[in-house]
This record gives sequence, C-alpha cells and structure tokens, in this order.
Amino acid sequence: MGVIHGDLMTLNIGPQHPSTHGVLRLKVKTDGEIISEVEPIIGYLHRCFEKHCENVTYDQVIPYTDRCDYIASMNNNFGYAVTIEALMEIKVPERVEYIRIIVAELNRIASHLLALGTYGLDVGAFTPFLYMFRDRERILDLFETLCGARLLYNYIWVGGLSHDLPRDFVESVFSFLDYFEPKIEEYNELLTYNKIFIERTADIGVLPPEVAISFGVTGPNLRGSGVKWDIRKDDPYSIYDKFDYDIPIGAGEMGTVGDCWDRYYVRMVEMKESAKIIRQALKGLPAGDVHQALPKKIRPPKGSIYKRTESPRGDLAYYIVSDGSPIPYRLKMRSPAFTALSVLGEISQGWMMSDVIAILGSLDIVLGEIDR
Amino acid sequence: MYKYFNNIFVAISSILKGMSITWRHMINIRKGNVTLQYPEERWPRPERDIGFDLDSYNVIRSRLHVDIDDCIGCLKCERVCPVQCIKIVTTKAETKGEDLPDIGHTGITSNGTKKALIVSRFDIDMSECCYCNLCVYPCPEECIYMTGGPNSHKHPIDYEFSQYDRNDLIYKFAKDVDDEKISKYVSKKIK
Amino acid sequence: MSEDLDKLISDAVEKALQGDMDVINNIEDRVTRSKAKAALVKAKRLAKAAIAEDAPKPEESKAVEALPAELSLTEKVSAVIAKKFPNTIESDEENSHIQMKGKNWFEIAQYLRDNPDFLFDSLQCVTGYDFGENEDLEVRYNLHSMTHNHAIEIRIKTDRNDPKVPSVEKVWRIGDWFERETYDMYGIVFEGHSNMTRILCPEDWEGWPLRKDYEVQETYHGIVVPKVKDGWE
Repeated sequence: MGVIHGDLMTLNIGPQHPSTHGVLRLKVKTDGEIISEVEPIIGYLHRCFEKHCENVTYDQVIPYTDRCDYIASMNNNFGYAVTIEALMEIKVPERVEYIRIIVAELNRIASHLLALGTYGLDVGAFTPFLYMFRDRERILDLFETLCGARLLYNYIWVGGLSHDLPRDFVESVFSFLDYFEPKIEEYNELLTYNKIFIERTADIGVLPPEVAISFGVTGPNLRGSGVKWDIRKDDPYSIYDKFDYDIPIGAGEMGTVGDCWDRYYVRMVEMKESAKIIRQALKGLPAGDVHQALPKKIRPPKGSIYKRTESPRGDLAYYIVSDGSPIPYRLKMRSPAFTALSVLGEISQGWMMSDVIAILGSLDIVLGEIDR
Repeated sequence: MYKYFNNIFVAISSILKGMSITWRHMINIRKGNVTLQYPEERWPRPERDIGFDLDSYNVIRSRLHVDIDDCIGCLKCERVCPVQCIKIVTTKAETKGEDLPDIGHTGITSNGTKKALIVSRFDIDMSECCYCNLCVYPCPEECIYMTGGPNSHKHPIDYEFSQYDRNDLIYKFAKDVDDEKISKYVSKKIK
Repeated sequence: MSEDLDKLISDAVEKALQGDMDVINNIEDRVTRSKAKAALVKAKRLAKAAIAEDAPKPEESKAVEALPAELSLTEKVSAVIAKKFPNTIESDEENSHIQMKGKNWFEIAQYLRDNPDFLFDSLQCVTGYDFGENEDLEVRYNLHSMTHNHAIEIRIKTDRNDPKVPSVEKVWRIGDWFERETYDMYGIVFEGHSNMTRILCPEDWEGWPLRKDYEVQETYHGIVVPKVKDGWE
C-alpha cells in the first residue's frame, strides 16, 4: 500500500492504553486514517536491572531476572542459570535437566496462551481470552504446588533447582496435557479459522525475512516469516537435542508469508509441540538429587560469556563478565521483545489505525523485558 | 460471483461454529463453571498433602513471620535478601545460653542451641519484600518462614494483610523493651 | 642460558607454524611461553605478508584458504581484516574476541556482513563496558551469521572523556536502538547515528547510569529520587 504524505496529524497512543501490553507509548503520524510513521517510545518501566545486578551476588540476581519477563519467568531463570553454568563449567544432574525442560515448556505454553488470548482481545474477540486464561490458570496451579508461587518463581537456581518435584506432580501434568490438547482444537474453531479474525489479521503487517534478520527479530516472529531458526535445534543447550519435535514456520496459508496470521498460527502450533516435548520428558524422567550440584559459593572464574536460549518471545541471551568475585561485574540481558518492538515502525507504514494495534499484538511484547 | 457467495458462506459457518462452542459451555454451566465468588469462596492454599517431606521445603509464599525466641542472630537471612528488606541489630550477650527475663531474651532455642547474641531489632518491611523465599533456606533454626501451608502448625496462613499506611507494613519482631534496659547489656559498639 | 631459550623458542615456533601447538603449550615457564606465542604471531604475520606478495592478485576467499585450517573463526576473521584494513586490529592474542580500533568500523562492519565466507547478517547484542573509574570505556558487539551459524565478538575501546565510536545503524537496522541504549547508559556517542537520544531514561536525565562512578541525582522535576521511608534506615 502506498504512503501518502498529505498534512500529517500526530496522534499519541499514550502509556495508559489497554491494548499496548504494558506501558508503551506510540507516537503515530497519520494522514487521515492511514499511518505514515509509528515511533515507539519506551522507558516507562525502566528499573535499571543491570545496575542492580552489579550490587548483589549471583544467586540473588535470580529474583531480579524473574521480573524482567514476568510472563515467562522460568525461561528467564533458565537462561541465566545456563549461562553461569557454562562460565563455571558445572555439570548438572540428569534429573535437573529434565525438570528444567518440563517447567520451561509448561511456561512456554502459559506464555503463548496469554499472548494469543490478549491478541484476540485486541482485535475484539472476548471469549477466547477467557477460555485461554482458564487453561493458563491450571498451569499456574501446577506451578503453585511445585514452588509456591504463581508467576515469579525463583525456581531454577545456578547448579540445580530450589525444590524437587512433589509426589503426584507427574500425574497432574499428564492429566493436564490430556485435558489441554483437545482445547487447542477448540481454540482453532473459535478464533483461528474465524472469518472475521482472518480478515483482521491476514495480509496485514507483512515482515519480510531479510528485514527481520537485519532487525534481529527472533523466535515466533521470525518463524512466521518463513525462516526456520530455533535455538533449541540450531544451537542446543541443556538436553533439547534428545527430544523429537518440529519447528513450525509460517507458510502464508491465509495470506502472505509473514503476516500477522502466520505469527499467530506459529504460536498456536508451538503449543502442541511443547506438549509433545513435555510428554517425552515426563516419560524419561530419571531419579536423582536436585541439590547435588548446587555450589556452596558462586564465584565464577574471570572471563566473559554470551549464551543464547529460546524464550517464548525469541532469543534471550545473557552477556556476563565476571572478575572473580561473588558479585557480577557486568550483566547484560539481550531481550527478544526489544528487537521485536523496533520493527514496528517499519512494518506498520501504510496500514490503518486499527491495524497498528493488530500488528502490535502479533509481535507479542512484554514491556518488562524491553525496559528491564 | 462464486467467490462472493463463498465468502458469505464461510463467514457465516465459521461464526456459527464458534457460537456452538460457547452454547455448549453455557448448557453445561453447572459442571464447567470456573468462577470463584471471592471472598466467600477461596481457592485452597497448599495446606493439603503435597506428598513429600514438608519439613525440608516451604512451598508457600505469603507473609514472613519470625519466631524471635529461636533467632540466634546469625544475620544469614539479612545478607541473602536481594532487596535488603530485613534489618537486624544484635549485641553480644555476657554469657552464652543465659536467660535474661527483664528484656525477654531466652537463652536456649527450641532446637537446643545456646544463643550468644541478643537481638534488639528485627524489622521486616513487607512492602519491599519480593516473596522470593531466599531468606527461609539459610536459617539454621528455621525461625523465619512464610506463614501457612507446611507451617500452619506454627502460624496460620496470612496473605491478606493490607494496611492503610505504608509504614504499617514494617513488621517488628524483636521484643519491645525500653532502650535503657537494653543499654545495660550493650557492650562497646551498637548502631 | 638465553641462547638455549632462544633456540627453544625458535624450535617451538617452527613446530607451531607446521601446526603442532603442543610444544609451545608444554613450555613450563610462563614468561618463556608467552614469548614463544608472541614470536609465533609475528612469524604468522610475516608468512601472510609473504603469501600476499607471491600471489598475483589474491581475492579475499583465496587468502582465507591459504591460512592453516586449525585457525579458529576469530583468528581467520582478524587475519582477513588485518589484511584488508591495515592498522585497525589492536591485538588478536585472545581467542574469544577481536580487539579493534574504532577508525574504520563502519566499513569493516559492511565487509563482515557482505563477505560470502562470513555473512554476519545479524547483530545479536551491543554491550557497553566500563573498566573502572578513570579508565576507558568499551563497546562490545556480538555478531552472528544465520547462514553459516557462527559467531564472533568484537570489542572497541574508547576514551572516557570523549567517547566516540562510528555507528553501524545503516549496516544492521537494530543498531539504531542498541546504540541508543548504550548511549543512554554510558554516554558513548555513535557518530553517524540519525537520532542519538536517550531511549530508556527520560530525555532530561542527568548522568550515565551504568558507569561505575555514577551518582544518582537528588531530585528530578521536584520529586526526590532516592527513596526514603520513616523509621527505616
């Protein structure tokens, strides 16, 4: 669609808005209804997490990392623990690896449920939002029996876990998965193949793959554009290479490759794949002691490390520089939603006002991770 | 022309399919209702049998509580708190393990450890607390814990503790005695 | 005694040039070992210069093939850059990163992105780094290639009182926001950037928060910045 530069009007979608997924401000220049420029302004949730981490010890950083991406908090902890373990060359027991993958994938399902539910809410569908939240509640109840907290877990520690599994956790997860997998069919009937939803999201906000790579977009946003890139397969960490699962990519089923519907559909199929991984991990769960490899005092050797993991939003990486003391010297968190939001200005030119909200919802951002 | 009618047919059929799902849920409202009428109905907290030895784990996140008679003043919980919401001031006692009734200091904890320090100030600011549970693990006497759940025998559950003033959320656990009585036992330096 | 040492070093360098690093790594004395490694680097540089003179018109890919295969990616990249853009590599002793001067960084970045052997088409992370009070600042780039699935790290040092680094916004589009964040936190100005403003802190915030000598300002528009509470130290 062409961009018309008539007399532009500047509109402000303020930090308080139900559709901006957090405190995000969008400065929009429109010509009538058609957008000519979108500039996201962030920083309303900036708590300078990196400076805090330079004043506390390595194990005290973990509650801070929880709060960056508060929706997929297990994956944040996981990324941090994996990075420090690579720096200190700690080998964790098998049981710890399996449990970490189970909880990380459960959290991935919960995060995708929230992303898709609120996306439906943004474009006007209220029912799927409540249904997806009902199922998300069951996952949060599982986590509550595991470590007591529903949203900010502080569960995956450097070298192990904080608690072992409760006795009937494995059966509860199996029964949850048996309940959940038919629900995905229900969501497909309710929302995915609904004609109104398709009209709202197909062919809108097309993200070409070269633009995506240049902007550093990763995760389901990149896979929706047709690039088969997943850190779990291409640069595996922990024991992801032992499981058998597919990587869904967008194929332009309802419109062009890389539109909003593709990104939505990739997340929907990823939930099924995560359920597959959890089933395999539960079947093969070995016995063992989860506290065995917890170091008494975390003092990494001098050096720096950059390690990437796959969070539900993309490629979450930590760059940690240690100077031999128990306090990190420099800790940088590379958040995937930061790069996803930066591409908003590029792909929303020429669309209309309500399409901007649809595109923003399909990028699945969490402001806690962007602002840190 | 065909596409025009096909579009209409697809639109109506997909909407009807979605509506049939919601209709089915509405018919089964007695069985499938997930709404809780809070505060009359509350979701049960994990006071139920979780299935493993509850003495070693604390799977509850609620308000922190301290059994001050058991605290030996080791300051481990203060050091490990990531947001520094615990403030403890200790003084050295003259003799280890001696009861000092005028300031309410018991010499021996319930686990049999002799106390060498008098705790004159133990404040926890629950508005700063991030409920990370890190202070509970290092305590050698298990005197700091989150109320309820596996600890219901020590303290009933308390997670609805709202106040009108933010300063009322600073919970003071040390025994409330006058400064002159404490100053009798103060040795060289105290903050 | 020193003649023996010289002979030992030259023997070790000979062996290493043929590909056998064990002789150097087995030298017990740390000083001698580092001398041997420095001599090896010098010898390699001379060897590359000799190859460049001999071949009539070496293209970039041919020069890469001429080097011994055991070189890691970092060493390969730094060798190629040192040949094409002389005088920009500061040291390639460490195997984990390339230390560079900031002079030609924009051209080097374009070259790294477009060269078919490397194809670093994705800038993963830009980190600022502070060596301490009254020391230098540094910018670290983590590059990654989607096609070849390899990654390197590049570090550029800059002065604390007037930190300037060329911007790579036009090379990788995400450089825009990453560099704004580094400017916001450290005060490093990226030359050539189209919109060098703060991104996370408010526009009129004073100071560079992630520097080691940062003091939080007392008030901001009349609001007291450090939090105080009654009855709490």
